[in-house]
Amino acid sequence: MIGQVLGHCRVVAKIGEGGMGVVYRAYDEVLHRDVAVKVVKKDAHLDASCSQNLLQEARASSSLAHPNICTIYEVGENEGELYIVMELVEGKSLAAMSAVIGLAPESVLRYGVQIASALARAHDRGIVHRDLKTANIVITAEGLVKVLDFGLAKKVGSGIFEGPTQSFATLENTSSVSGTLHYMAPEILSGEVADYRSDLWALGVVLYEAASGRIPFEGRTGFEISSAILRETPKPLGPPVPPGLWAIVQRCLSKEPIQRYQRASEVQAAIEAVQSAAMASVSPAPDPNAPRTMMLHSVRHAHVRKGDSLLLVGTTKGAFILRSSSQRSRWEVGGPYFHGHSVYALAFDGRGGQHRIWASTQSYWGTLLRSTDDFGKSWTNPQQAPIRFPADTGVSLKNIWQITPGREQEPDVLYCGVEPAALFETRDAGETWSLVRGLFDHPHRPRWMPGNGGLALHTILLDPSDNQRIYVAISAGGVYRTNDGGRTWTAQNKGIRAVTMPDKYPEFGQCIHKVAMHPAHPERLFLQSHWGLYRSDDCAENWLDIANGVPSDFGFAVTMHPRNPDSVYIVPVESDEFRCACEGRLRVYRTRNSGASWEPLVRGLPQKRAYETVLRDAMTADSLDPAGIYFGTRSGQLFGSRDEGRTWQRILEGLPSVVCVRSAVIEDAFVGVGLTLPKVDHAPVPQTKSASKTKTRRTKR
Amino acid sequence: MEIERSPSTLAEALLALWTLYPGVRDRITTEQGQVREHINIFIGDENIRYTGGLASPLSAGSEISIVPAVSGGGKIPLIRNRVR
Repeated sequence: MIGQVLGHCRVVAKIGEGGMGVVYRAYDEVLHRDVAVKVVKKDAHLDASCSQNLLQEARASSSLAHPNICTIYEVGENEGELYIVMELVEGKSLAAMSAVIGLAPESVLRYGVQIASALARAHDRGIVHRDLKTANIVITAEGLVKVLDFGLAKKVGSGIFEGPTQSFATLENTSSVSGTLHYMAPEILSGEVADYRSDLWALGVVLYEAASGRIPFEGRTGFEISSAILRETPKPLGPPVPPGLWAIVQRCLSKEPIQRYQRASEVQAAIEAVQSAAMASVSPAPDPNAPRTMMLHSVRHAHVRKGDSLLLVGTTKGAFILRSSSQRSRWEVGGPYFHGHSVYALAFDGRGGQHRIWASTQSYWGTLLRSTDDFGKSWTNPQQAPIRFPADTGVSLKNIWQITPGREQEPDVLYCGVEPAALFETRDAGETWSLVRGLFDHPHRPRWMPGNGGLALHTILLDPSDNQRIYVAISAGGVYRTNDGGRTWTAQNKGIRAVTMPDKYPEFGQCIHKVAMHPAHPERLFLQSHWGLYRSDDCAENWLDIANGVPSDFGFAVTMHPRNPDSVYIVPVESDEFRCACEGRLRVYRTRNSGASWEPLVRGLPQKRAYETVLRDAMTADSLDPAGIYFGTRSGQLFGSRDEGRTWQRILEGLPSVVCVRSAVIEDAFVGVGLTLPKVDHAPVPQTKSASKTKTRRTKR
Repeated sequence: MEIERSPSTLAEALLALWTLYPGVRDRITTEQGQVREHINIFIGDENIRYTGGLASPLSAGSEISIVPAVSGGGKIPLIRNRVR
């Protein structure tokens, strides 16, 4: 078969064999893409009508365009052999991933939502899977679920084997089928016709297996397994499986189809409800008219590939993930994620080859830190808030303003800046977070005053040349620096004006809006404050006014060029009262000489009645050459330049107020700044107390 | 949902709820144990802000509703605890 051409696909290599046929990797010579080709076994004894039925079924399945369904491109016959050309899916089967001890509940929920979503699409199109099992579900490296063989089992079940129950008695080699028997609904074993609800039974088995590593109905022989399916109740799934997930599994595994969920979309909604744990307590017989809040419902996802550029956009009503090729000319939009929640902080963490996106979400249900490893298709939904103030502080978390991955050589370290102003850190990749007491217990803290946005620690800068040195900025508390890994902190505000205080140059209390550092010159910092634009050349010991030729020294965002440490971007606004672009002209200003002079960058930006504001974290630069510069506005517009600010394009409009923009290039060594950091020694653990346990444990199996 | 035990105060009833559904706790209260600013809890039709807060007494058959004060005045019934 290798080298043979089927249709316009040249067979390259054998990659697998199942009960139905052999699967090959092939190359589509017309569309120039890698594909998988399944050749149905000759010994399947397809008669002419059965073959025709299978063809029809495969054609129907090919209409199922869904991100979680393996797409069928083509079906055909070659010298009496039926073949199916389909999307080449590379990853691990859910069966292999769940083996022995099962997956973490968060992963089961993530995958469960996607499987249910795939079933919902198929059922809407009148297609029943009939052979759903963990071996038929593949998880890609990106964490995307792909359900294989949709609709292909139907005619195999009824046509080739003349009924699945009989097949066990007649087939010598039952291995491929016995795998299927474990997932078979009681009504099929009783000889009734399978329908959508038989798939939902199989989904219950799949969820049970994924959560526990065990099959719910076991036996040594086909008879024993069938008997267990027909009569026994499965062993309960206890902690750490959430009660809500166990309830879903139980309902899927109701012996009578009428007692199960009646639609896959109901299972999807139920799993999503467990994901947003507040929903888990809805009574088992909910009022159908009651409004429900669902996250990730009907969300479009961006399909991210290696080499893509990403923009992470946080707004006051949710987050968006945009992707583009490295050309950065067209952007595909995913989202909104966390519908209705404020997302003030986003971060991409590409350390150690991962591609994790972190997000903070704030709503009346509180503030949570979440993450996704599959570009937004599924997010952690911790039962307990991962970041929480210890009881003795008497303080409650209001918002997370900043998420900063640690240094490259400490892949499990991250920092969060929060409101009320405090710094948290994790040294186990987000499993547990600790309040940095050295800063929280600082004698200045009781005298910090909230700015307009609240009392927030919004800037965290790690000195790449000194693993003990960290800078933070607080609105309105000022700049603080530690030289001993967080044990002690000093106010570093000499030369920064405080217009709102009687002493114009106090030791602390300045309303700092943002500080930026270039890793190649970590001793030099650029700072935008509430009336004031500054540079420090000596690790924040002294600050110099650099507002030379800008229309206003009021503003929020400061962004470094990824390679040129003398090049900085800002967006001045008119005043603290008006806080809109000066003269209604949206202008980015850039210096290329560390603030000695500034030039406006306006080509492509609105210059009339553009009363826009760019908030402190709403501007970023990518790591490509020429550098991309991006910013979002309070009115919900997103602009980008792929030529370092020379020309601008409006990427999106009509968003909720943009509060955070971050960029990433997938598979880049260092994301967001684009420089290889100098080698520094491993940082010791700062003095912290009161680690708080969370329940967001990830599977590392 | 119904609580089998007979809690005498709202705090005890909520404790029973947290035990059954641990994820709900942090959605309803802050880490300092205060009911979140925009979450309202009612016993029957009365807001607990006027009945003693978390120490509000319960009687047999009390119905507890937890609803977010959504901007615009809408209410989303979320949890009902019927104390036997």
